[in-house]
Amino acid sequence: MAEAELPKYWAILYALYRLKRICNSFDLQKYLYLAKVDGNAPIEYTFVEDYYGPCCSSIKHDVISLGDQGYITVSFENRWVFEITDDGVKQVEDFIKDVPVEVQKSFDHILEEYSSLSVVKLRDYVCDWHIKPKPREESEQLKKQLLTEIELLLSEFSYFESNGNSLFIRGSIDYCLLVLERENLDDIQKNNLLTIINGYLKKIRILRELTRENPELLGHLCLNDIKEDFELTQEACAEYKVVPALFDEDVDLSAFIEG
Amino acid sequence: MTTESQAQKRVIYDANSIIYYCFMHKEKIRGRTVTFMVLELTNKIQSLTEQFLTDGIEIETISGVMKEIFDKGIAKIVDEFCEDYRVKDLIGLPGKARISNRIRLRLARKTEEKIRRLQNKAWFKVIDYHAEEKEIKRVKNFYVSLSRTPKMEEHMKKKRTRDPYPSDVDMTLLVYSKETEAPIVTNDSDLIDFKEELERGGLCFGIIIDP
Repeated sequence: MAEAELPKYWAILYALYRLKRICNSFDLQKYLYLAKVDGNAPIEYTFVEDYYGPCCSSIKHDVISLGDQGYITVSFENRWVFEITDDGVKQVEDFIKDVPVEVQKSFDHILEEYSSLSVVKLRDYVCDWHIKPKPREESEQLKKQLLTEIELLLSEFSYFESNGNSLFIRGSIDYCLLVLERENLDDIQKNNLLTIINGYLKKIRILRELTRENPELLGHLCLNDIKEDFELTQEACAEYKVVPALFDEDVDLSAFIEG
Repeated sequence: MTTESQAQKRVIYDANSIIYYCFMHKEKIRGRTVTFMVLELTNKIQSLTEQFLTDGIEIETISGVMKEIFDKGIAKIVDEFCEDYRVKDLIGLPGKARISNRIRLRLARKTEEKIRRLQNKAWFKVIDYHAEEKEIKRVKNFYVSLSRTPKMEEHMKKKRTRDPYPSDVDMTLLVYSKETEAPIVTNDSDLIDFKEELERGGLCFGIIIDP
């Protein structure tokens, strides 16, 4: 069958071929997920539920590999940016004939429909339709737990040497603390926001464990994935109008001061 | 070969000079606009930079300095800045209160972004430079030779360090200055405390103390 001849990464290149540029890894994951689930595209990636929606770690792996092969460029500007190269375009033009026309049409429709959505709206769309929210009491319980965990993490990271990474960790979780203290959202948005913050903190907890024996290691780690996650966290907080994004240029600083 | 007039057409900035140059941020606080800047230093390095540009002097640094800036330099300066009671006043916090980590991160990000924009200016160059090991050793030996002098003892006491020599990046800067015949603009005590000795010993081309 013609579909079987497609390379595993075909959908990544195809999405970039159509859009030219994708500005964060969350969106790329969602387009591929929707193309597979709603568009019935022959995509081999297996998705699991994560706080920012369905994801598949192999996609990131293949993106890096496509970058190494020169089919796309991968850069980081506060979030991952993927762009197709001329070689990538040629590669797509080579395999596009093997992609059935109806698959191309449904994939194009998904890209057209969802590429204009903000990263948070896209995430919520996918999660609202495909993931069941938690009951309210469970959310409240989770919120209390997160507040306690942030206090603990802030205290632990306060002993780390001051450097770009430790400042980033302290600042970002301190922002999450303010968000949790201020949020008073309805059930669905609360559930979404708590899921995102919980997911973000999960990564920070892993980082804490990694550096427990050797705190100096933190200064040498590349935190680009975590930085991109924090961008999503801020966008969600701003989208739900809890607190503006911390890096929003035009915001009044008093929004981030207690009292 | 570098002629004297060519050599004078550029200066080398160290990490602090670059950070202070970019550390000027306008923020709205409760509706009024305030400027965050390192009072004694930002104005001076900005005027000095303007003067260099008027005189047709190019400004450059080495890749190691840029790495140091993003790894540690900005965080260190933001933390020092946020401990200043005048900054707390500006935000409207009492002297004993601590400026939150999130505000520190916001200031750090703004500084980072300005420095990234600086890298796109035609008059500012980042040179990918790595000094030869023997040259670094020469600088290190020079500092070690000063170990037992009262001046070095005083310097080490002030800096609370056991090593008489500066960081690898600072030593690379010295070697680069010597090689390119361009002076270093710095307020780093590791360099300015020994300006005369370094210049006299031919360890660098020159040191311009900023401010």
